[in-house]
Amino acid sequence: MKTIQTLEQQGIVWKAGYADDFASHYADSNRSTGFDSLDQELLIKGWPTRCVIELLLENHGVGELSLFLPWLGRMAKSTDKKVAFINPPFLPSVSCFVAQGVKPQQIWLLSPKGDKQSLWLQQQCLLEGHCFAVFMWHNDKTSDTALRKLQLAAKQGDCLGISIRSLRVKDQSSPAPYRLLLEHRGSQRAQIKIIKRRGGWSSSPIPIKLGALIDPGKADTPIQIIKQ
Amino acid sequence: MWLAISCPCIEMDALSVMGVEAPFVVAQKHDSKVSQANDAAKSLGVNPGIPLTLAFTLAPTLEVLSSDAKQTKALLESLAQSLGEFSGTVSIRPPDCVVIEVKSMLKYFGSLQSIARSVRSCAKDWVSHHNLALGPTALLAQWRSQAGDQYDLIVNEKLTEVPIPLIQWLDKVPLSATRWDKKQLSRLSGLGLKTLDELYRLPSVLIRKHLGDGLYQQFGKAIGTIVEPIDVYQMPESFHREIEFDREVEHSLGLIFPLKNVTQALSTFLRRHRQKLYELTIKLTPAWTIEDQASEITLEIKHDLGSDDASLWLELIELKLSTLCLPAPIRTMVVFSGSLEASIESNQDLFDTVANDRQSAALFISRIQARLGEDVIKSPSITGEHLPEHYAEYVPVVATDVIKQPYTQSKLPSSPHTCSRPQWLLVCPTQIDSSQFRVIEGPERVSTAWWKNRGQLERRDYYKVLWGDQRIAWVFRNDKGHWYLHGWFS
Repeated sequence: MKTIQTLEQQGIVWKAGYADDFASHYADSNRSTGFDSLDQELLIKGWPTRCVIELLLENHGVGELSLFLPWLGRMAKSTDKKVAFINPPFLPSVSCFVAQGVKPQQIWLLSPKGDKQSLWLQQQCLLEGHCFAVFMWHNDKTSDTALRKLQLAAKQGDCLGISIRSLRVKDQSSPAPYRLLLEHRGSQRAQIKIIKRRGGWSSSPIPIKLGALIDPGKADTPIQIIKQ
Repeated sequence: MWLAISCPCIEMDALSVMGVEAPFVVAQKHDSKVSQANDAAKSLGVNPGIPLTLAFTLAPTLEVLSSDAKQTKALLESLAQSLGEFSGTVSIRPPDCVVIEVKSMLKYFGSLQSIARSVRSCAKDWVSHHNLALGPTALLAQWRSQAGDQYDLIVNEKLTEVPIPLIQWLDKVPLSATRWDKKQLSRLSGLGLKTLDELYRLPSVLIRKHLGDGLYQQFGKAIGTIVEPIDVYQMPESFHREIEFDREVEHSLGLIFPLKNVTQALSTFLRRHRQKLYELTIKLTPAWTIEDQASEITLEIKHDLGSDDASLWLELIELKLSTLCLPAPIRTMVVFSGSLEASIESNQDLFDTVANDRQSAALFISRIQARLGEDVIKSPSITGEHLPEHYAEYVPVVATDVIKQPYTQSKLPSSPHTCSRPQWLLVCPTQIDSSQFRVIEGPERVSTAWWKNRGQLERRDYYKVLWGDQRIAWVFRNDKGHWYLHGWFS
């Protein structure tokens, strides 16, 4: 039988009473997500620090980068730290990051081989304090122990880890203190739902406007092929 | 004035077995006598000098290790290199003694006590037991140190800087400390001579006539009547250490323990040379190899920033070894230094945290590369080319570049259509079917540089399209009318 202390140590439960102290301690205008409606739902009115956020998607390319780009740009201007992408499914487009104010040398693309190396590297990036954000892609089989290790590393290294996972693990428990579900709703606005968060219950879906997404309503435009 | 450091347990220290609680002894190869014994063995009555058969009778569970002359010599050299910090004249007296000239260094260190204290602290890093002794000549200091602690003036706090008469230096030093051969020692014992001062009282003519020219010469060098040519230790130009394991090492991380001593010796070598090491090579020889397999495993450990720090090199080696799977147990290991460079200490601003952070980040990169390879960590380099896939290239990060990066943002070549580019790019565009999407925006024509592509011009018409599952993709159509997926707006 697990006691409440054991569950707390494992990061499965979190004391709501700490919320106010936590919010006042970590409140920082630099942490704003860039989306007012989302900020209002988060404890420190922006992306949390020193933890791992689990972002659940149905597929890649639904706005996972646009969601973080405003914050990444603001942070990159205020620090020399890096943003790391560990085994991303595609290459991050440098021009988009540069346009937001992220210097090219602040982008690290890491390609370890195998799950063991990948996990070690994720832990090192979170722990050592040289990155302010680490993007990681985890599959359905990633264990809670591994995620808990990453959570502890992020806490120690003062870093935000973004664990991107499939929507299939939505109903599984996770030691990540924040779990967000991102859905592209077929309009200019994407929709984000907070499944788990510090200082509150799960939220109702929050509509957000992701800058780079385009209104698919225009999709009726016929293909214009220039004659060669 | 000379200071001698003798290490009575150097053979055991060289085998890195200090701290083992089980009784064991070290024996010379092709010799059936105990050379050195640990405390557990000594407590069972197994003392150096007794035959191995008797030792086994006294301690049936006794373990016997054969001494490694190469390792012992290497350890003595490392000690000599460390002691070079205290004197310009260092001489190795095999098998277990190093002498240094200290009179010329008195002004720098202040007193003999101060030098002795520093030397003792330095010797502790290398050997478990050591005896220090002073002497007016190198040979007499060596004999005094070999006699043991009871003649150690520094230990007994009888040391004064007032010139001591020679007879006092020789007082009560047993003749056995000279390590003359047994025949000579028994002859001297037969004459009733037990100590050096008794020998000194004999007329020198009689010593030469009755005890031989060799002993006369040796004694003359010790008391200073004959000048002894000192063989000054010269440090080698590169670091090389070879270890033959007494027992084969089956797991790669089992090599870490012997490597601790090696990296410590390496660090001393680098610091004495005032150099930084950028590359270290380790060659491992397996006990056996199968066909088409190299007879040696070579590990190259690189550190772009260069370092003389033992703990850092050990950490980098450990990271490399942690990913190594040994095809067979390892019998020998050779460690040697690669590229070296003079270590220049740079001035640093006390409050410059950015420089410290960068140094730390560079070290982090070096650690990652040591474990996972140089290509594992990449950063974009902007070329400014107009072709989407060539606007920036991901290149391996070089640790030294991280330190040199400009503090201010340099003006970057702008991408012509930053806002219209997707956040994700495919490494290679994938051919798709036009039925998979609906066009939202486009086209935007991008042409390849005909002058670079052997005169061939490739035109692409890029479109933003709505994918079947409502995602926004970036696709192009080439001259042949084929459609390719090139990125995702995410």
